[in-house]
Amino acid sequence: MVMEAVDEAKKSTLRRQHIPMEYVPGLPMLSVRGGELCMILPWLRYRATGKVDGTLVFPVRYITVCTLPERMLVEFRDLAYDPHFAGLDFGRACGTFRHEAVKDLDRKAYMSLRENALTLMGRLASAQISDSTWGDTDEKALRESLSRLIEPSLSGIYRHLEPDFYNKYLSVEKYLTDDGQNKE
Amino acid sequence: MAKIKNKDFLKPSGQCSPQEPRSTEKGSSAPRKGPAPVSAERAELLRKCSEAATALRELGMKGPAHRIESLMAKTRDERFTVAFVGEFSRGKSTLINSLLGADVLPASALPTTALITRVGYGRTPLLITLNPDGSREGSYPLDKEAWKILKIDNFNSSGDSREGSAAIKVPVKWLGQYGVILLDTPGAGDLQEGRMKSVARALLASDAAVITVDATQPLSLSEQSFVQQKVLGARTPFLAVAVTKLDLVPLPERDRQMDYIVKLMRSRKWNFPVVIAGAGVQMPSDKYNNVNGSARLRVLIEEWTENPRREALVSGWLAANVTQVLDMAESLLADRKKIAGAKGEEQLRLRERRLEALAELQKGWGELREEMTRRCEAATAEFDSKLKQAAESMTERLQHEVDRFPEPKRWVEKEYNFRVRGELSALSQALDAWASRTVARDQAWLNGRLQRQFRTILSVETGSIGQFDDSLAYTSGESLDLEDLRQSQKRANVATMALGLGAAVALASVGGFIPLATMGVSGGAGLWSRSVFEKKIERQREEVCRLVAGEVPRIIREASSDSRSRLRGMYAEILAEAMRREQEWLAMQRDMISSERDTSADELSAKTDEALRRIAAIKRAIPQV
Ligand SMILES: Nc1nc2c(ncn2[C@@H]2O[C@H](COP(=O)(O)OP(=O)(O)OP(=O)(O)O)[C@@H](O)[C@H]2O)c(=O)[nH]1
Ligand SMILES: [Mg+2]
Repeated sequence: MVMEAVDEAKKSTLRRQHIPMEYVPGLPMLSVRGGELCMILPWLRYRATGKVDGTLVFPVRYITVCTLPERMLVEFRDLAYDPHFAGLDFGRACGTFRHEAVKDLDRKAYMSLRENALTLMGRLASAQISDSTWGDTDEKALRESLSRLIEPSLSGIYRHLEPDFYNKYLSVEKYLTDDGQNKE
Repeated sequence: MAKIKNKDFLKPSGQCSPQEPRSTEKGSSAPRKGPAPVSAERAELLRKCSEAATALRELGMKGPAHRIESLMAKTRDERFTVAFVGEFSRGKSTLINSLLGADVLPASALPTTALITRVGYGRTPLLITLNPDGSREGSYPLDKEAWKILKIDNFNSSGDSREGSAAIKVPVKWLGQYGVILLDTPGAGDLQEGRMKSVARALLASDAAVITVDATQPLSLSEQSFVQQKVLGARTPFLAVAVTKLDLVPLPERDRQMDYIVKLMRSRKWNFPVVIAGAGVQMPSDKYNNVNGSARLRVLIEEWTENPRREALVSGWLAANVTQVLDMAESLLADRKKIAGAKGEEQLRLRERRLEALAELQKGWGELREEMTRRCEAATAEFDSKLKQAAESMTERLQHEVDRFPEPKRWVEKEYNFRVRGELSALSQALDAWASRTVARDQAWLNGRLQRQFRTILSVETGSIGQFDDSLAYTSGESLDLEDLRQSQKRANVATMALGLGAAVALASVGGFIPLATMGVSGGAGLWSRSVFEKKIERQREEVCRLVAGEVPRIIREASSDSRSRLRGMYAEILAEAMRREQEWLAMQRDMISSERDTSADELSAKTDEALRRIAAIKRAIPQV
C-alpha cells in the first residue's frame, strides 16, 4: 500500500508542478491525522561528486502527505518556509551517501532493503485499517530496516516531522542491541 | 474513509519516559545557525498571551495582565538542567569541562567537587555561592583562586557535607543557545549520606541525568544500585551513561570493555544511550565510532532540549495558566455585569453585600489554612507510624533469616547490605504511592472547600446560585483547580497549576505521578559489619539479631528523613499556591468594586459587555494543549 502510494506520488502532477526535478522521495512515514491514517513523504536531493560514498545529501525540502489507502493529498509543504527550520541552509549538504549503516550494501542490496522496508510498512498500514496480521517479528524487521536505511544526517528533520513514528521505527536501538554490539 | 483501528498505534506503549532519538553520525541533527528557535506553535502562543495581557491592561485589569506577563517570562527563562552524577572521581567535572571546552571546574584524582555547582551561560565569567535557601552568599571572579571554594579541601574537618551550592556563569555560547544548565555534583559515595541526599534532591529537579561510569572499574554493585535507586527512582525524563577514562584501558581491550558495560546495562534494562567521554578515544575498531567523544553527548543534550514532548508540556503549562487568569477576569466581569444591571437601591445593596462577603471569605481562609496544617500533621504522623511498623516487620523478617542462616557472619557480610537495600526500596515504593494518594486526597478536599466558598460569594450577590450558569461558578472554582484526581488529565492539571514550571514539567513527564520517596539507601551497612566478624559463631547469631534490631530503625529513619520533609513541603506548596491565587482574586474584586464607583450603570454595562467579548475571543484563540 505504501509502495504504491510512493509510486503514485512520483508520477503526480503536484510533483511535476511544484517539486524541482532533482528531488526524490526519501523514506515515507506513517502518521495519524484527524483520526485518519496518513503517509508523510519527504522529498530531498542528492548530488553526485564522482567519489565513492561521497554523494552529497541535502536536507529534506518538501513534504507531501496523503491519506491511506485513498491516497488523497492532504498537505504539501515547503520546509524552507517552516519557521522551525528557519536556521537550516537548504543549499548546503548535510551528509554523504552511503552512510555507515549501509556501506556494505551494493546498489542492488540497498534497493532491495528499501523495497522490503516499504512493503513491510505497507503491511503495517494495512493492519491498522483491516484485519490483516502484524506481529512482533514484523515490527522488529521494520524497525531494523528503517533505522538502518535512514540517513543519520536527516534524522533531526524526520524526527521533527513525525516524532512518534520516528521514535518507534527510525531511532531505535542504534546503541544497544541484543548482543551489546552496534549494528554494522 | 477506512476506519483506523487504533489511533495511537504509533505512540510508545507502556511507561511514558520519552523515547529518545539517538544521535548517530556527526551532525545527525539538522545543521542550524543562531539561537535555538522557539517552535512555531510556541511563538504563536506567546503572541496570543501578550495580546491577552495588553487587552487586560486596556480594560484596567493590571493585576491579571501582570500575572500573564510573568507567566510568559517564566517559560522564556525555563532552563534545561542536566545533572552529572556518579561516584567519586569518575570524571564528572572533567566531562563538563570538555563539554564547555575550558577548564572551568576543578578536577583531580582525589574527591574534589564539594558543592553542587550549576554551570550556566553568562556574559562574564563569575562564581556565585548560594546559601542552602538559594539566596546569594557571595560572588567571585572565576579563577583558580575561586576553585578553593568549590573544592573539597576547604571542607570542615567534621566531615559533614557543606550546605549550600554554587553557580558558575561562563560565556560558552552553546549553553545560552539551548538554555542548558550543567549540574556538577559531588561524588555520591556509599557512605556519604548527607551528600547523597543533596544529589538525590538535585536529581528530582533535573530534566536529564548523565551517569559517569569509569571504564577501568565499571558499574560496581554499589554504582548499579545508585543508578537503580536514585537515578531511575527520581524518574528523570532523559538519561545517558558516559564512559570515562576509556583511554586508560589497554587499546586492544577497549571494545570489549564497552561491550561489557553495554551488556550489563542491557541486562538491567537500562535502555538509554551510552557515549564515550573525551576528545575521541582511539579504539581498536570502528564499532563504537558513533558514540565516541564528548561532542556526541552535546548533540544528545541538544536533542533532549528540543524533544517535542517537553515542548508541549511547557506550552501546555503556559496555556493552562493564562486561560485560568482569563477565566478569573471573565467571572469578575460577569459579576460586575449583574450588579450594573440592578436598579439604584438594589445595586448599592449588592455592592455592600459583596464587600461583606469578601471580608468573610478572608476569614474563611484562616480556617482553611488551619485545617490544611492539621491535615499535614496527620499525614506526617501517619508517615511516621508507617515507618515504625515497617521497621518492626523488617527487623522481624531479617532476624528470622539470621536464625535460619547457617553462618551469621556470612549473612552479615553477604546478605545484610543487600537485603536492607531491597527492603528499603520496596518500602520506598509503597510510601510513594501512599503519599501521592494522601496528598491528592487533601488537595481535593481543599479544592472542594474553596469552590464552595466561591459559590457562597456568588449566591450572596445574586440571591441564588441558579442565576449564574454553571460554567461561571465552575470557572471561579477552577482557578484553584485541584479537583477529582482520579482523572489523569486533572492530575496533569494539578501538576501544572499548583506547582512552578520546572516542577510541573518534571511531574508531567513522569506521568503526573509525584516522585516523593527516593529514599536514601546508602545506610551504614558496611560500617558495623567489622565489629561483628570476630565474635564466636554461637554468640554471633544473637549478636547479629541485636545488631539488626538496633540498626534497622535507625537506617529507616535516616533514609526517610528527606521524604518526610518533602511530604510536608508538598502541603506547604499547595497551601501557598492556593493562597496566592485567592489573594489575587480578592485584590481583583476590590479593584473592580472601586473602579465601578465613578461610572454610570449604562456605561459600565456597555463597557463590561465589550470587555467580556474581547476576553472570550482571546480565550478561544489560545490553544489548549
Ligand atoms: N585518563 C583519563 N583521566 C580522566 C578522564 N576523566 C577524568 N580523568 C581524571 O580522573 C580524575 C577525577 O576526575 P574528576 O573530573 O575530578 O572526577 P569527579 O567525578 O568530578 O570527582 P569528584 O568531584 O571528586 O566527585 C582527574 O584526575 C581527571 O583528570 C579520562 O577520560 N581519561
Ligand atoms: Mg568533580
